[in-house]
Amino acid sequence: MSSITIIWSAVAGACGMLAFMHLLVWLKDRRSRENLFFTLTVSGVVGLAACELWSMHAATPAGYVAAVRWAHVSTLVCFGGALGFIHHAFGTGRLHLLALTLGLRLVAVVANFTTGESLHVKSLESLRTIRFLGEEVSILGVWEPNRWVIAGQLSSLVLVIYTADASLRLWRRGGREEKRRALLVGGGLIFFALASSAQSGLVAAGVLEMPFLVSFPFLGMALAMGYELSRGLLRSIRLSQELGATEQRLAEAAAAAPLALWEWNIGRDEIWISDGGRMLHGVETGGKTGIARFTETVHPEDRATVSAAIDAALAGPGPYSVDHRVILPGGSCRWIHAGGTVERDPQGRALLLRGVSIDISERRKAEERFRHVIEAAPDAMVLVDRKGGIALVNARAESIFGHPRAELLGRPLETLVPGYLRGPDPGTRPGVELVARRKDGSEVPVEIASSPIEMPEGEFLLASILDIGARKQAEREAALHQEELAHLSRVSMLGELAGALAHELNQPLAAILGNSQVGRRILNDPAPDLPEVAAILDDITGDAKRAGSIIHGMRAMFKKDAAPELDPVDLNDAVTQVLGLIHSEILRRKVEVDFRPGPGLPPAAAGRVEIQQVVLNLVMNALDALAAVPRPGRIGIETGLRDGQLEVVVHDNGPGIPDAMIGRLFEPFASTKQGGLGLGLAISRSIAERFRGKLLADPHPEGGARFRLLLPASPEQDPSCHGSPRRMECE
Amino acid sequence: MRVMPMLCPSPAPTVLIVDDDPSVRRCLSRIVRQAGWEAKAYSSAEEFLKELPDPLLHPGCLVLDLQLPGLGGLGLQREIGSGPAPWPVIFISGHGDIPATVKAMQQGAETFLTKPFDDTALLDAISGAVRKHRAAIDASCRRSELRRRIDGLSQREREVMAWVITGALNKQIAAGLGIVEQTVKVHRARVMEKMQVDSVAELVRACDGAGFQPALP
Repeated sequence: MSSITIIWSAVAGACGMLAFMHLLVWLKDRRSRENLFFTLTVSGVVGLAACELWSMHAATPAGYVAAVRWAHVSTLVCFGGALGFIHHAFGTGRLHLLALTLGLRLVAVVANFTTGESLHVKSLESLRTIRFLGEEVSILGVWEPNRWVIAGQLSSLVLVIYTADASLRLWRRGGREEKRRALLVGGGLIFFALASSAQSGLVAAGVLEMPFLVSFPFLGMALAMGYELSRGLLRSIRLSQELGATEQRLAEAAAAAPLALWEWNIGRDEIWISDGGRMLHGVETGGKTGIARFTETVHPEDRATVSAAIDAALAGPGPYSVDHRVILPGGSCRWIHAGGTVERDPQGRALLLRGVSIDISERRKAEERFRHVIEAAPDAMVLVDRKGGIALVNARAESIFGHPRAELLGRPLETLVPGYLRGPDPGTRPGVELVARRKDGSEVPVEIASSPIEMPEGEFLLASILDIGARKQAEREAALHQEELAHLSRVSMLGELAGALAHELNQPLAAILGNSQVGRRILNDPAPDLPEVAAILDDITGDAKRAGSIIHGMRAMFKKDAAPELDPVDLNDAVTQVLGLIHSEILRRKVEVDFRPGPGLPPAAAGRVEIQQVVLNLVMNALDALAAVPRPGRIGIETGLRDGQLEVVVHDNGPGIPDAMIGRLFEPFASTKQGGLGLGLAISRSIAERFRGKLLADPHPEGGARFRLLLPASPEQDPSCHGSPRRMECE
Repeated sequence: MRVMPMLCPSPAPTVLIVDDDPSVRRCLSRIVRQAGWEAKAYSSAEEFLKELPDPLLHPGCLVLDLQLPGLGGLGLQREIGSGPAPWPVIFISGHGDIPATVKAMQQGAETFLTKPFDDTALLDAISGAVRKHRAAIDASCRRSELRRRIDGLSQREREVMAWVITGALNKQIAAGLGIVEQTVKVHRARVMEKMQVDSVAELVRACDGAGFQPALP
């Protein structure tokens, strides 16, 4: 056999083999159109090779022309295959250029059969014989070219333009894979198309003394395409290996956990489920499973949800994600969370839905328990999402806020409890007292505590809200009672002192009366001593003021002040005033009082009347204690500043505090005095504590009792908050 | 009468004021001075006791605050309550402390005024007290004078006088003393002369005023 026959036959055979293989691939998977187009291309090459061999061995001009005519048909097939391949593999080709190429090529084929002897040859007189590859082959001898050849040439040109354009556009997309493909496939195609046109043109022009060799450039074209396909093949082999490993790992994971792996081939409506998954979903092993069978396993109440989730996933772009119940063959229920992704073809059509399902029954049960606990809580419980919207409430929350549950869900917590979420840290917070708003617009004092809570849906804040309206009311009433008690105790103390107070008031009154009478007499004198009258008037003024201040002090003590204001109190001044009030009582009791005011004390942050009440109580107690003592009684009073706290110390040289009383000195109704109610010290201590101070008792080192009243010093005065009842805020 | 020569000094009356309240003290002083008496004021019982004037040389009275620091009004009253002619005490009190009032009255307080007091009441009380004190001083003076005269008698004269004031006749006295009647007469005349009396009635009064107790057998 001659070498030409061997080479051309080998090319045809190899191409036929390739065509057959890729046809099989396409038949297995209709989606792999590249394989179909490659099959077409290589089939064309087979035809070309056959026609060329035929033409080279043609003995008569008629035989030669027939071979060339059929070669043009093969070229059309090659063109079609290559164009389809490019169009499909690149996805960037312009359809009108493709149509133009094919149209021109069709015109060429039609002209090939209808005009002259073939596309190139209008008429052929004779053949020539030349030596080619060491063999005698027939080529065109005397012949006339056909003008229709232009259609074929134009077709090749447009093919080149189409391919160049598609390649450039693919290149510009920028991916490394795309650039490689554009360069190799696009470039190869252009190169071989140009090469074949050049060769056939030169042969037709008689420049080259050789047969038409179109099959080889087309073979090159096919090889470029084949290389591309084989890369795809290699990649899929590698992928399938990797997939195998992944699948194995997944299968192991699926076996270890209650996990189902599944894949739904939408086109064929086939659902593949891993073996463990079949048990999870309650699907029998073996047999084909379609979407209808799957739907049967879903709890009837959840079918609509599942179908909506599937529709949403297929419509894209989000993944498939749904919680639903499945009915197991035994009739029991199981909660499943399924999640998956949709695989699409380049046109965006959904091909596959694959994913995993897990058993979330335990989680659901835990959530259910959580809901029950929340529901049964005695306080209002509100679960708030990251955006501040209410996700869950309990019955108590409904009753506190007056909103039905449905109205609360989704509503911002901020509208119910304004200001809470604006705090510095929305995480764990101890109780904060705020004012919440009810549906009817009324306000309710609440205490809120919250802590972050991790849920499957993300991070939430669980707030417990306590209606403290009743507590507030009780606190107010307690404060009122305490104030009333303090007032009563004050009044009763003043009652005991009535005589002394009257005496104290009588001093200036007596002086005023006496002075005015004597003044009157002096004025009756024939020569009145006017300077003396002036002195008298001065004395009267002084005494009237004195009487006024005594009455003022008494009135302050008698007055009931529901909410004592915090005044800066000068302790020395306050003690002096108290001692002034009971001056005559002290005289009557023949007790010596030694007051040593501490120098330069800052004012105390307290209520003046209340502090005086405490001092009065302490001094009166000391006086009472001294009544039982035969020796001369002494009371020492000192004021001072110790460790930043103001201090009033009252001590006496009386019998001291009986041991039995030490522990319960400040308890109400514990009294050592006959007829004593036992409220004085209890009230005094509560007053001290109200002003964040202390009242302490201990034995004096030199005998007798010692009481210490400790009070916080008033902060440096800020003029802006002077007189404000909520001065504490300025600290 | 011949028997009562002005032997005692009689300076202007002084009102002594003790009150711890300076304003009241000033007011009391003014009222007293305006009424024409001398006033002397003390702020405490102790201050007064330190000075302690002689009541015989200072006719007048004490105006005391009942509630004084220290010794106190009642204590001061007790301190000065003895002596031949103690000052009458006028108490002024802030309020009617009944036990204290009773105590003060028992201790011989002159008057008890309650603050605020009317000045006429005070002035009346003061003038009454001053008059009383003057009388007391006079009585005291006279008593000392009579005592002085009695002290000037001889033992025999004193014996005779004791008989005379009991109304005994000369011969009864002579018999009682175991002496002659003529001697009794001489002694009797000497007694009348030394005692500066003109009649037995006057002598009896003088002896009574001096507190002379006849030591009769």
